[in-house]
Amino acid sequence: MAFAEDKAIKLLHQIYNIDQLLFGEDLIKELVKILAVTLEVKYVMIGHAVEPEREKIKSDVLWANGEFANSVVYDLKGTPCVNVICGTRVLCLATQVAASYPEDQMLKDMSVDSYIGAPFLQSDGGLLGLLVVMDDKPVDNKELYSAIVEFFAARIGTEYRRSALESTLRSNNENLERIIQERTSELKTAFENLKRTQRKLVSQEKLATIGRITVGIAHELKNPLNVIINSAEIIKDSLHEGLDKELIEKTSDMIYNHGNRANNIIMDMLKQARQDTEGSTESVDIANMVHMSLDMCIRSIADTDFKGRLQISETIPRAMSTLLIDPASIERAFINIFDNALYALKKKFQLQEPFIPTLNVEIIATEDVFTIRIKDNGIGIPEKLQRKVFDEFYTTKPAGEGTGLGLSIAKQTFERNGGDIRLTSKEGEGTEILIHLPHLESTVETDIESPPEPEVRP
Amino acid sequence: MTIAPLHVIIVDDESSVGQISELQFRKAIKDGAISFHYFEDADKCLNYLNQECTSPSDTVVLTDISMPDITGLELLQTIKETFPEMEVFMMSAYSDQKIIKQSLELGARGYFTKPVNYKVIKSKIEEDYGVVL
Repeated sequence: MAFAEDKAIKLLHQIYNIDQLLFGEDLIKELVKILAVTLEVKYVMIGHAVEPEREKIKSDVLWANGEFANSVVYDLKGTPCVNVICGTRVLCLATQVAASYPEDQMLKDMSVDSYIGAPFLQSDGGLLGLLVVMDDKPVDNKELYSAIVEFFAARIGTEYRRSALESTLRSNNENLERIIQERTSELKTAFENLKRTQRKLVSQEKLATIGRITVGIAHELKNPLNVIINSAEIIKDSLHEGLDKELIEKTSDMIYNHGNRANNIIMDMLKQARQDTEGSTESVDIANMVHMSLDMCIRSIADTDFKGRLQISETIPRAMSTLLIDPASIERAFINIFDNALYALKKKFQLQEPFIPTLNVEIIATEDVFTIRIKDNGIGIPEKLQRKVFDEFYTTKPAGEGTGLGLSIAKQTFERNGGDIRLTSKEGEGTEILIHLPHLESTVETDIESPPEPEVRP
Repeated sequence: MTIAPLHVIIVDDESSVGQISELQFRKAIKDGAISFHYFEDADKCLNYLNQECTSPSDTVVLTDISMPDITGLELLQTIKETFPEMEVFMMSAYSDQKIIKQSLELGARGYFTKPVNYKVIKSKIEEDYGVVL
């Protein structure tokens, strides 16, 4: 007995003395090889039942006659393996196996005499595969060999389950990674869409502002055209009466002056319609810009009663140049602010009589800063809404009358220029807008067109 | 026998309108068919009418609408209250129906949109007052 135990331990030690770093298929193959060599048997096979019928066995690793052999598939019917996969323990047929299973031609062909098979199981008890050791000699130490085969079947089963879990883990990881990648790309697309939408809205607001003033300005063109068309008609009619030098001089002067006036109106419109000014820095006469923006807004007022009542006071110094980033945006910001002021005045004018709508515009220039004050005595803004006026998409105007982007874009525009905009208002009494812009002298002499004489307004 | 001339009054804050009107009516002015007046605001026009106008039915006013202080519509209203038999025509760059309707409701005889066609204005006045312009 002592000898038997000693031999068993030696045998186990020999079998198990393998590279500890091996795992998965490599470990299983190594175990199969060592089992065959140590136990001195011809055949060692690890296989599994082929789903779903489970009528055939397919080998995963096969050792035959001292080397690894190609995978085989065989019918279970009439083989000792049937008994192995049906049970949960080891089956040992020490000798005469081929004779006991006459239907099994393979046993005969392989001259198998002894057979030891043990199943290995899933963690839930279901069959995972089987380990079979066969030899052309009888097994003399049946108990020891059965124990060894059962033990290694269990070890191989553990490796199978570990490998399966590992591959599940890997595929889970891959899935996770794929999901993360999908989500990331979805978010990226959503973010890009959002950016595109924002750009679109900003350009829509630009167009809305241009549209608002263009209607008024296009209509304003009719006044110089009235003078031009009629002057030309007067000249034409006068040709029948002989050459009246004085008349021709007077009318052609009018054509000339009003042609220029029409041209200036169109130039203002085009300046606003320019789309390519983003990021450009130009030296601009801010005083003239404020005046012209106000003028454009006043010209676009359609309500003649309101326009007639409106009192404008402009305290604007002449020709105040400063460097501005994207001047067209700044001008649009002023147009939006004046537009809002006129809107607030008109609302109050329609509600309340007698009321003198008044708009005060003042520019105070110091060496390094311009302060632009725009004050109206219109309907004002309720206190609780005041902090929202610079928010995107916030508007108190009815649908279709405002995009809710005017002041938010204006704020961004002034801030981009290193300035700021503040608002104080009292409901029912009026609103004051205070803008600061840094006074930056151009270091380069720029050849800027001298602005037209500001119109004198009451 | 002298026939009292028709008083044609132009009210427009743009003096060029006064000048082209005067030129367009120059023949009738020269012939003495009309007496031409131009005012740059409604207030001056009303002052004139209150002090000098002796025959409101022989006076026709052509006024702009968009003017500082007193608008053309207010001028129209005042004239129709003070001199109901005096005719007033509007001359404006505005062409929306709302203002045209409002003018006609306030008693305007007609509405001309700028650029105005003086031939149409003249024939309208000729028709109404039996003068040759």
